Amino acid sequence: MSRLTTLLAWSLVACHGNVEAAPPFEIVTPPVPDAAPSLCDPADRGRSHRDSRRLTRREFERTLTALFGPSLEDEVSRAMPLFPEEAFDVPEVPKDFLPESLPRAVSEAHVDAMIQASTDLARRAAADPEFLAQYGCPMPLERACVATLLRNFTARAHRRPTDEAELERRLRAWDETGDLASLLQATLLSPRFAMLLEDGGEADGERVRLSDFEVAVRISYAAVEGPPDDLLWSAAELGELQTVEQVRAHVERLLESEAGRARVRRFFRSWMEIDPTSRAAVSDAFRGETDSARLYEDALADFDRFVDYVVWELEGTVDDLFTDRTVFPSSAELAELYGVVGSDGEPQFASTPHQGILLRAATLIGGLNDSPIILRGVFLRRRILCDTLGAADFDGNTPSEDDPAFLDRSVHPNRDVVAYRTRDEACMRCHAFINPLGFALEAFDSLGRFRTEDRVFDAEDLPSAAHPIETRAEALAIEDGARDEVDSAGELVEALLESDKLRECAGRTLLRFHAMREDGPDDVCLLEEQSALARSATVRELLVHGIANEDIFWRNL
Amino acid sequence: MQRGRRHFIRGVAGSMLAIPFLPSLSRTARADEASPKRFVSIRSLYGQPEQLFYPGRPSNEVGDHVRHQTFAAGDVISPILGETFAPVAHKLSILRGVGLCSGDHNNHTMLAPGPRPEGQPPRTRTSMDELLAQSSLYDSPPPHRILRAQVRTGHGYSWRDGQRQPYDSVVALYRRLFPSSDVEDDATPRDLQAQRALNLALPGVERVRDGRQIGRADRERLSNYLQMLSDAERRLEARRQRLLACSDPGLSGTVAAGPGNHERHADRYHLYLEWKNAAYDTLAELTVAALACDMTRVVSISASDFGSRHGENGSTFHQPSHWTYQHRDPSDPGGDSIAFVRGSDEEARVLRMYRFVAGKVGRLMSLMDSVVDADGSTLLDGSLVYFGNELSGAAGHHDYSMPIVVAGTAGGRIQPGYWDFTFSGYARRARNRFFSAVGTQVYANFLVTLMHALGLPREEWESVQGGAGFGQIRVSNRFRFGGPSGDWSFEEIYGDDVTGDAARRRTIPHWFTDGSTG
Repeated sequence: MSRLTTLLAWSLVACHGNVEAAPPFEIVTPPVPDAAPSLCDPADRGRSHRDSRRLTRREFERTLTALFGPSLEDEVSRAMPLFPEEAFDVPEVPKDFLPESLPRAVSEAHVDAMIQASTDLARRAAADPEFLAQYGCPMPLERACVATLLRNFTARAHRRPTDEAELERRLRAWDETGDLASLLQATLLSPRFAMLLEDGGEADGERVRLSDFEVAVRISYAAVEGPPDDLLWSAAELGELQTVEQVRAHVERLLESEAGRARVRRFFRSWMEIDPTSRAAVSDAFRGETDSARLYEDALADFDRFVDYVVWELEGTVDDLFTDRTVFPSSAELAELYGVVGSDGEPQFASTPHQGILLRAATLIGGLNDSPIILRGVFLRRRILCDTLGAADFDGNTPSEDDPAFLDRSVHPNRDVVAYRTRDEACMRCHAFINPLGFALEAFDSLGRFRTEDRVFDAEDLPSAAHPIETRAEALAIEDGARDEVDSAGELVEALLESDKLRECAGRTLLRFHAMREDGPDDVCLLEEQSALARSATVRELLVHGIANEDIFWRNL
Repeated sequence: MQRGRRHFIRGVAGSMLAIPFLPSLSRTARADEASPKRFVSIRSLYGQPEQLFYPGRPSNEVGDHVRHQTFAAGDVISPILGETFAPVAHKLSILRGVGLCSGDHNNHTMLAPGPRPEGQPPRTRTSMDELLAQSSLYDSPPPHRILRAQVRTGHGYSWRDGQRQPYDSVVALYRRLFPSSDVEDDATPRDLQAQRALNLALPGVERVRDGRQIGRADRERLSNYLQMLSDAERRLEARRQRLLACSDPGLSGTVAAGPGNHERHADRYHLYLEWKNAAYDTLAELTVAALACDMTRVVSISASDFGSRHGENGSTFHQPSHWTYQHRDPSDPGGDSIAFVRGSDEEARVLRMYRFVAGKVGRLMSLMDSVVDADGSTLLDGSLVYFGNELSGAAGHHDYSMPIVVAGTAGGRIQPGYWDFTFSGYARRARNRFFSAVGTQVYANFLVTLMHALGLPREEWESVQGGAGFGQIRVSNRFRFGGPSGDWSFEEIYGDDVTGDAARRRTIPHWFTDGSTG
C-alpha cells in the first residue's frame, strides 16, 4: 500500500482488524553480528540470484541510448512513451514492497513497445552514418563490413560476445534481403536484449560462477541502470572482473558518475517513500497559507541535494544521514520551514528540529490537512525498521461505536482522536506498535513544518482552534533493550540509531533496491556485512559494497 | 505513390503464398482483437437453373427434411458454381429448400432492393442492408455505411454523412473510395521489416530457451516471450494483409475508358465483354479494399446483367433466362422449356451468362478469403457473403425454393456445407415443372439467421417490417403443390404455426450453430 492508501486503511475508518486470523505485523529480529554468531555460509553466497528479470523502463531507455549513440538520442526519446510505466512509477500501485512490484517477466505491452520502437530505431540506424561508423561499418555496406557491424552491435545489445554461428545466420539473411534494418531489429527482439539473462559461467557445486560479461552487466545495471561502458566492457574482455577489489573499482567509478549519483538519489527517495506524484494533494493542504506545490518541489531538490552532500561531499556515515542538520532551501517557503534566511540553495544549518533524511521536509510532507500519525508510524515500522506489517483486515471484528464528541477536532487534538479511534483491544494489537512512532513526529505538521500547536480549521478554512502539541511517546518497541520512551522527534532518531534494526534495514533495503527482489536466506552474508558497515563505515562505502561484494560472482544453479 | 492494379492483385491473392506460413498464424486469436463482421449481398436479377446450379442431393439425412453434405477446399460444386468457388468451397453454405419470400424478384427484395423502375412508387420497406447500416454492426460510424453498386449500369450510391450519395460509374466509385491515391503509406514496409526481424529472432529465442544453463523459471519466461513474439508476428501479418488489401487497387484502363455502348453493336461485342469483365473485377477489388479498410461493412451488389445484346433475347439477364427456360417449347408455349432446350445452343448461351456472373462472385469470395483479418482469420471467415435471388428457378416466377449461396461463417456462427431442406415427398411426385422442389424453411428464417449470425440484438430487427420480425411470409394464391393424390396443404409442408410471429423469428435449424431463437 502507498502511504496514502495506508492512511486510508488505518486511520480514516474505525479500527477493527481481525488480528486473530492474520497477525498484522511482526517485529523482525535481524541477525546482529556483534550480538550473535554469524549465520553466513560462504558456500551459499549468491544463491539468492535464481532467475532473470527484464529491464525496467528506465533501463530500456538508458540501454537504447547507449546502444544507438548521440545521433539517435532523439529517436530513443520519441520511442520511450511506447513502453509501459513501471508499477513503482504509478501512484496508485502499492509501494511498500517495491521489489515485488516489479514483474520480472516481459509483458505483452513490452513486446509491442519493443517491436514498434525497434522498427523505427533500426530503420534510422541502418541509414545513419554516425551509427554505422560507431560499430565499424561506414558506408558502403559490404558483407565483411556488415559482419563487423553486426558482431559489434549484437555484442553490445546482448551484453556478451556475439555467437559466431548466430552471426552467420544473420549474414545469410543479409545476403538474401540486404535489409540491415531487419537484422538490427532482430537483435533487439532477442530476449538477451530485453532480459538480464545469465546462462553463462561455470557450475561450482550448487552455484554457477558468472562469466566476466555477466558480472559486468550486474555491476552496470546496479550502479547506473544501463549497459556496461567501454571501460567495464574492456575489463570483462580482459578477464579483470575476477575479484571483489576489481569490481569495486568500477562500482566506485560508476556510482560517482552523474548517472550513478542519480541512481543513489533514487535509492534514498525510494527508501523514504518519496513519491512526488502521489503527494500532489499537498497543494490542497493548508489552503491558501502557502504555495505547497512549490514548497514540495523545492523540498525534493533539498532532499536530493542533501543526499549528494552526505554521500559524496561529507562522506558521512549512516548517523550523519539521519542527524546532519544541513539544509539547501531554494525558495522562501522552504527557507521559512527550516527557519533560515537564505534561499539560494546554498547549505545552511536548520534552526528548527529538522535533520537528516527522515526529519526533512520532503519525507515529512504527507498530503493531508491533519498530521498523518498512523501513516508515519507505519512508514517507520516498515521502511526504517524493516518490520513486516500485514495489511489491515477489518473483517470479523465489530468496532466500538465512536462517540462523535470524541472526534471533534475543535475540542481534541489529532493525537487524541487517533488514540480514541484505535482504542479497541483488537486495534491496539497493531496500533500499539504504530501510534507511538507517529506521536513522536507530531511536532511536524502535514507540510513538514515544525509546530507547537495543532491547529484546526473550520468549514470556511479559517483557523478555529489550536491544541498544544505533545510529542512524548512511550512503548516504542523498537527492539529489545532499546530506548522505549522519547520526548521528541530528535530523540526518536537517536533511539532508532541506537538500535541495530535501522542499520540492518538500510542494508536490506539497499539489497532489495539493487536486486529488485525480496531478500532471502541466502543473502545473510551480505546482510551481515552491510549491517556492520552501516554502523561504522560511510554511506558511500555501504552503497559500493551493496554491489561490490562476493555475491556478485554467483547465481544459483 | 499510386499502387498499380497488378500490385494489388499480387498483394491480395498472392501474398499468402509469398510469405512463409508460420505456426503463429494458426493460433487462437486474441479476444480483444475480434474482427468486425461484414455483410455482402450479391444479387442476380433472376433465379437459377436448378439442375445446373445445385450438386446432386446430399445423402446424409440429419433431420426431417434436412440433408447435409460438406465440401472440401478445391471441390467444384456444380456447372454454375464452378472453378472460382473451388478455393472457398469448404466455406460455402449452399441452401436449397428455403422459400416464401415477401419481396418482389425484380425490384423489391428483402436483402437489398434493386432500382425502382421509373414511375413506380418508392419503396416503403427497410431492406436488410439498410437495416444493417444503422445497426450495432457498426460500433463507430465508418466512412460509408453502405456501398451499393449495380454492375449493369455502373450506378450506385454510398451512404455517408447521413445520406445516400449516388455515383454514376465504377470510375466514380473508385475515386470516391480513393480520392488521394497518391498518398503513400509506409506502414507496409515497416511491417515487412518487423516481420523479417521477427522471423530472424524467433529461432534465436528458442535456442536461448533450450540452453543448458537456463533455469526452470527463466525457461518458462522465455517460452512466454517466444509465444508473445509469435503472436506479434501473426498480428503484423494480419495487419500487413489488411493494409495491402486496403491499398489503392488501381483502376483498369478498360473501365476508366467507360462502358460506351458496345452491347448494342454486335460487331463490337468483344469490346463489351472486355469492359464487363474488367468492371466486375474492379468492383470486386474495390469491395475487398473497402471492407479490409473498414470503409464499410455492408456492400450490396446487383449483378443483374451479363450484357446480352440484340439477337440474344433482350438486353438484361432476365430476358434471356426467362425466354430460354420458358415459352420456348412450341407444344407448351406457356409452360417451362427446361427439357426442350437442354443441350441446345440457346441453353449453352444462357449457361455462359450464369457461369460468367457466378464466376465473378466466386472470385470476389476468394479474394476476401485471401485477406487476413485482425484476428488472424480471413476477411471471408468473419463475413457473410450472400449470392442469390429471391426467385427460385430460371424459368417461372416463383419463390418456393430459392437458390442461396452464403460464403463465410460470421466467425463460426453458421455451419457450412450443402443444406437441403426440401419437402421430401414433393420431388418424387411433382407435376408442376416450373419448380422441382418445395422448401420447408421460410425465407424470413433465413434472414433472421443472418441477423443472429452477425450478432445483431433482436430489438434491432424485430421492430421493422410491421413488428413481426424481419421478413414476412407471403402465401400466394398460386400456392398449390400438386401430386398424384392431390395437393399438399401449406400447413403440411411448413407447419401450422409458420406465419406466427415466433415462427418467423426462428433461425434455420442445423445451419445456425448457436441455436438461439432470439
